[in-house]
Amino acid sequence: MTSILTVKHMSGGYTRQHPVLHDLSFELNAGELVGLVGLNGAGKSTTIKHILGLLDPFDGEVRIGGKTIREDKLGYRRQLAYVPEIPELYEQLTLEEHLRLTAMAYQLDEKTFEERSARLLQLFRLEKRLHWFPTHFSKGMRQKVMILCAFLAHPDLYIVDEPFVGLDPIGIQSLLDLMVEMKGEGAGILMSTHILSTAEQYCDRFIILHEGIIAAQGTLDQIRKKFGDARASLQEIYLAVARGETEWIS
Amino acid sequence: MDQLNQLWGRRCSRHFQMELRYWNLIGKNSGLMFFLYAMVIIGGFYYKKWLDGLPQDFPAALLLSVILALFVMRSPIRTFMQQADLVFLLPAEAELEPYFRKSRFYSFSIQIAAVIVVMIVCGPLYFHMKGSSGLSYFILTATAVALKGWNIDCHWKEMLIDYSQPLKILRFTLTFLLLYSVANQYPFYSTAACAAVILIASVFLFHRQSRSGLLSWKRIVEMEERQAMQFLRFANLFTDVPRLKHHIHARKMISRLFPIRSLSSKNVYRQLYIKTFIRSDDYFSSYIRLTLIGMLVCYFMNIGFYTVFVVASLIYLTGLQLLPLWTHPFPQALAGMYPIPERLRKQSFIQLVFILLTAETVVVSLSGAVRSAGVEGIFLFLLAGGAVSVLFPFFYVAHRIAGQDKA
Repeated sequence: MTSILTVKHMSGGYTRQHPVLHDLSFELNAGELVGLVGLNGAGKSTTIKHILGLLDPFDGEVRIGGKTIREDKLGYRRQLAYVPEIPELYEQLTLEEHLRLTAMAYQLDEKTFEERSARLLQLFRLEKRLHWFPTHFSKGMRQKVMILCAFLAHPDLYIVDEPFVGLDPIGIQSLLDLMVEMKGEGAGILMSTHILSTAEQYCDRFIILHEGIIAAQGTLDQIRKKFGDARASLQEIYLAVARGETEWIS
Repeated sequence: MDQLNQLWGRRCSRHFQMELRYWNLIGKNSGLMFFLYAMVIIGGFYYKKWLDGLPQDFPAALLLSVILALFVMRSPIRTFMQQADLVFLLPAEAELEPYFRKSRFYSFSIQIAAVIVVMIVCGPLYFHMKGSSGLSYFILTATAVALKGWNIDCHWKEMLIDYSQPLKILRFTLTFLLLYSVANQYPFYSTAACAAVILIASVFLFHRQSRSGLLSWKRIVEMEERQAMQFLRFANLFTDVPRLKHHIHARKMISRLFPIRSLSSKNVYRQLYIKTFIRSDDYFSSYIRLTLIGMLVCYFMNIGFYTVFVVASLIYLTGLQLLPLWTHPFPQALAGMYPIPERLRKQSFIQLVFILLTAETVVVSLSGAVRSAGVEGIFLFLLAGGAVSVLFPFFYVAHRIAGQDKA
């Protein structure tokens, strides 16, 4: 299996004096959906910022497609799409312009753009909103626009941060279907979420973050084995870790 | 109790520090001082010309009272109240009277300064009137200051009165009448009668009604925010103000002129800046405004080849107005992630500034040359405006934004 994202012994955070993340190591392979779970403040968003290249690790490194962001900034960015937890849009652009700009930035040709955007718009029921400005969008619709922009580009790696909050049921299902489809085409997806039941159903592997370290990672079965209860749900394991009822570190 | 008293002082000094920092920035990197200076000279010149040409029966007293009344009536009160005070200070409302008294006194002091400036500016017009003397001028000024105090007091009482619209109209009317009667030097009894009505209204309407009213915190906070935003919006013309709320206009007709023609990645920032320029905040309207003013000034000034200085400084000023576009915030999750070199972003911005300035040069030069300078004039103006249109973006802007990609 080819690894798309490699995080090696990464420590990081906002100031060197108070690192938030300690010695994280994990991999994400092509065709894999990995769930990143942890309490508020466990370091999920900080991890994501490091992967996006918005923060520089203090130690260790992050590689996408074998390259760090310092080696090739544009090549790194081109392989990556991001759906943030809080949608941010250009208030001065219409939905259509958002999509076109994404297509331009990721160098899609006209035909590919038309095909992909038509399908995505239809999936998320936004066909009639093409000429609307974000001011008139609800939180859920803004979230959908972020998803559209990310999935238009067809990159190798998707970073999806808590995507379900505020989405309607059709939106949630469409997003899940899309992720399964992209996985099938060989993309890797790292998804941070608190909706554990959905994560349990869809993710191939999990990374459980607790206070900036990886408490456990692997498939659900591997984690269960370590936990010592072959029938425990992700929720039960996660709560046990969060409450400090287990003693394991990676 | 003591803490509440200190609160006002702390907030006021913080407010001053904040404004001072912005003034510092405004003074440092903009043509504001130059512009003000030019406006004073040009304005003064035309003011005098206008006064000299005034007919004998010109209603100067009426005009003067209207201008003065506008400045005296507008009497917002700076309370430094914030949204969060609705939660935290509400329980202490009964003890806040000294706080609000300070606010009223502060607003009064600041606003009489404005009234006095207006009186100074209107001085030549006043002394142009028949029968004006130093004493009458002083009396008018004193009346305006006293009325300012009355307006502030009544405006505050309105905050305690539910339906204050009729009172507001009454306040405006009385203010104007008294100013008009003093400016015209009407006999003493008419002025005294007007003053008596003001006193009666004050005691029996404003004060009596407000005694049983509840303080409208919502309106107080709104009044405060409006005033704060006014300053920030002004400061934003010169520097980036992060707290400013951005607003957009769809501008469908003009946007249609700049569709996305090709999906080349070179065009991403070009499109972004064009659409931001057209639709966000006041970039577009201030560009159009400046261009129109420039055209009118160049056409009417009739100073021949000297128009060249007007053209050059106008282009420079317009360029300054365009600078905040560079720091207009784009979403990190979109623009921040695009695999596009920073170089292209800078290029697109500089190009847009260049094109806008060049277009302005052409129309302003034409309107300047039409009446007074002929064909050589067009050539000269185009050359001067063109020089600024090239120098400003490719040297000044390029220098200002260089090295910012590291941030």
